[in-house]
Amino acid sequence: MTEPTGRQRKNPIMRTRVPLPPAGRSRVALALTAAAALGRFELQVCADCGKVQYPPREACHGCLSLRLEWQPQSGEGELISETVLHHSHEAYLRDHLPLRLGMVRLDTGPTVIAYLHAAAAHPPCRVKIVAGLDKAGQAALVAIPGGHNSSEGAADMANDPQLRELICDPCAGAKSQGARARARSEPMNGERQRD
Amino acid sequence: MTRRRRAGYGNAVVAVPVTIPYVRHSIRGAHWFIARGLHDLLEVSGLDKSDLDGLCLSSFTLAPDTAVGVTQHLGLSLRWLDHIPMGGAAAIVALRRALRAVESGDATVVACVGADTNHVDTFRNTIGNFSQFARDAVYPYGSGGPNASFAFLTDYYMRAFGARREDFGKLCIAQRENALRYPNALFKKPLAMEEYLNARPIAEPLRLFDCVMPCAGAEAFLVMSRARAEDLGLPFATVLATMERHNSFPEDPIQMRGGWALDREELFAQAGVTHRDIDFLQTYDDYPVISAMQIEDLGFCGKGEAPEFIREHSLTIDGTFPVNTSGGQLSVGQAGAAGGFLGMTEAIRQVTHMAQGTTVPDARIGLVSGFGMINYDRGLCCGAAILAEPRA
Repeated sequence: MTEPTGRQRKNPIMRTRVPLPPAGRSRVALALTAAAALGRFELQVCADCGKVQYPPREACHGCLSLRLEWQPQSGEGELISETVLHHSHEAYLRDHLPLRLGMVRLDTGPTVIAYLHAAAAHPPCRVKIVAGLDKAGQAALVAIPGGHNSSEGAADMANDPQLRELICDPCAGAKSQGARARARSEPMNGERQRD
Repeated sequence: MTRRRRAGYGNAVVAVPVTIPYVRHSIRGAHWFIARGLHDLLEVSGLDKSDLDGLCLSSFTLAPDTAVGVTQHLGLSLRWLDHIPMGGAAAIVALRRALRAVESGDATVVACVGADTNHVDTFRNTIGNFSQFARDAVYPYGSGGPNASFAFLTDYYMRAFGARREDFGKLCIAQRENALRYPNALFKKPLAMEEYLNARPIAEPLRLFDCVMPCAGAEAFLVMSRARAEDLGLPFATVLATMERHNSFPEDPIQMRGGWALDREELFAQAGVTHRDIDFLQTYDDYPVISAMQIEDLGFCGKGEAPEFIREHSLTIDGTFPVNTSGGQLSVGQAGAAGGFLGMTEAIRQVTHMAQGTTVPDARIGLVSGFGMINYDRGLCCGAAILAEPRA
């Protein structure tokens, strides 16, 4: 059972301002959002040297290969650092302060900056990165407490009132946990290759 | 194979440190602050505008212009031009480029200028589009800007090395004391430890006085031959050694060291001095954790020992280890790219005995350090220079 967030209803006479989170992304980063929209966390993997990388790049920073493939990731890693943000430069995010953020070293190598779930312990601890969508429709990565199985990521997000406001689970409409798990693990059309 | 020993900077010197007083906000453009910087360089040096044949510029708020547009905007005809987008490392890198240009004869007088304006929304625009990685993978997460990035580094550093808030506080308070003797500092009240510790949280563990305040202003200096400086009767400093490194230690999961750690031995060897000879240190200090890292990586103490070093030393102008003698960015303000020049102009003043109120007694040799550009999760540009009073 999820708790109400307790946010105040707006005065209906007041003009409605609808700020959004920052929506600008490079073209190469949009693939992260495309995967997140299917409930999957994918990163670029080099087809030549196997290096996994983040943030998204135009080439492999290990061997400069241009053959990068987006592949599903387990998201397992270690929370190495955290902060609680009390100040933001964007109106939308200011409405949601304070915000807990984490820096996560994925087991596959890259360091990821993500929203940090309220139930996650302080670093160092195991966490898991899952991908949702923010109000701008862009991918938003969330570090949830480690040791969970991937299909519970969405439920976990809903249990953090802050994250429930910030991030939508694109698979929430799936009929069952089973369907949601399948959506997360199965590529849509066999092998997906972008670019 | 051993590398060829780097040539020194025998013939080229640095002179005429200029500061255009900072203001919190300005309606002027970056060009205005650049123009004022150049104007003061010429006025103090006695040079004519036509004597200037090189310009090395750093600014975050010049867009859509670069240094190229500035030549026409300000009517400069040059034969040597450089634009250095390296933030807090820009002054070191500008100095390196300009010294070589003068030494080789590609230019005779190079103006190095760091200048920025600060409109009401400037800072947000700068950090929201700071880099591709920042826009894709950092800024959307809370839009905290550098506060959030340095909060991660500070949180990790405190846990890894047992640093306490009081250690960072001691550094910030010492710099504030220095700033009270520096006329251009925007912060003019003493800072007490209670006030530091209980300030409002910005990005935990960082609180208000851990964070630089963005503002508008300019810093500038000239590089020319020693003979030219002597002809003009200008006090000048010699440069004993410099270094720069970019994207050092990319495999570190989080930044706990910078390029200084790779080059400090060569830096001191080239300078022919030891750490004991250094009379003062100007770090790049947008947040105290990065000053601690510079103290360690430049070799003044071991890795993780800066908290202990800070506890043992007094860091004010008249202390056992004077740091950021003008007050640093934390107490003077961060005028964009000029923030990277603040330590350099102050160091030139110290070794040319023009520092007035902030004078470190008998200062002959100083180290200036630069750090810049949090492209994603860490600062990519590191630099350092050792400046000295000229030997007769």
